Amino acid sequence: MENVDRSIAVFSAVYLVGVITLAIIGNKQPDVYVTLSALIYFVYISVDDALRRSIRLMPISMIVFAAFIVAVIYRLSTMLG
Amino acid sequence: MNYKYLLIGVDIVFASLVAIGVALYNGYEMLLGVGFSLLTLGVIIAGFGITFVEPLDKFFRDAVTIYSLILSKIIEDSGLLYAKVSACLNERVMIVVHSAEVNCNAIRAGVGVHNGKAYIAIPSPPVLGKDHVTGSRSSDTAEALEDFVRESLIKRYGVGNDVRVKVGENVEILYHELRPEIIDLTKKPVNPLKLVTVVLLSRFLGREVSVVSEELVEEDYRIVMRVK
Repeated sequence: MENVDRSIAVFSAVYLVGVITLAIIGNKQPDVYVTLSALIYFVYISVDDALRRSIRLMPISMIVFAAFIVAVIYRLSTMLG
Repeated sequence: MNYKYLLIGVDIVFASLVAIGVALYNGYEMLLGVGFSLLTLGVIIAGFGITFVEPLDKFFRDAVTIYSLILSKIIEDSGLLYAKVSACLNERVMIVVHSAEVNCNAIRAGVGVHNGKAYIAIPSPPVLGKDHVTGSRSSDTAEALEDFVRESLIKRYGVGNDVRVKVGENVEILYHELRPEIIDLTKKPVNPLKLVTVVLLSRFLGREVSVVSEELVEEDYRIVMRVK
């Protein structure tokens, strides 16, 4: 339990650092924020054993991947017209 | 299900929805992006709460404790509370708890009597997999044994921080900085780390092994074994 607490705290911290960095450099594209969020999530769960042991990540990963796909489609639609 | 994570996640989702609403109303594009990011974070943490399951480690620790209590009772009733632990090599490695010297060839699995003294013999499961043993028997140096124990118990299972092996008249294995869960188990009458170490050494050397002494000093555990 304590390990999972620590993992989620570290994950949230890394996640917020990414988001705040994007905000500081003045990015105004919502799809970029969502894409970076998905990237941080997938990288983090691939390196953290405690999360994988204690949490069934498949449904969450599917939701995050769906958000990533929506962001990509949004980006493509704005580029194509 | 873990309600703490679920509640934190739902809170973040609500905060992000407010941020998205404000951003859409006022046309703040940057806040919209931050809002979507927070929404994703809230959904992820709420998802962690919904799909959380207690780690199996705790289940196995409890199971080991139960088995240890059962075995302790059997050992106590057999008058073997302060008996020795050995590993015999018959068709497979057999853990033997005995009070007098035993001839491994005469030992059969189960509770038995040898030379008028009771013993308990339990066939050992392949605790470390066959691959770890193959090819290791030819080398019985301290360094090779140390690498083998480190690979098997330290790197694979994280039993402790490191291991040191001395080979002389007896074989001495010193585990450094054991994990707290393992320290608890080593205090039980049936010490799983002792049993695994005996089996490990016996399989590594391909010889019979018996425990001479053991001691737990703070986080370090020392076990001395005699190779027959």
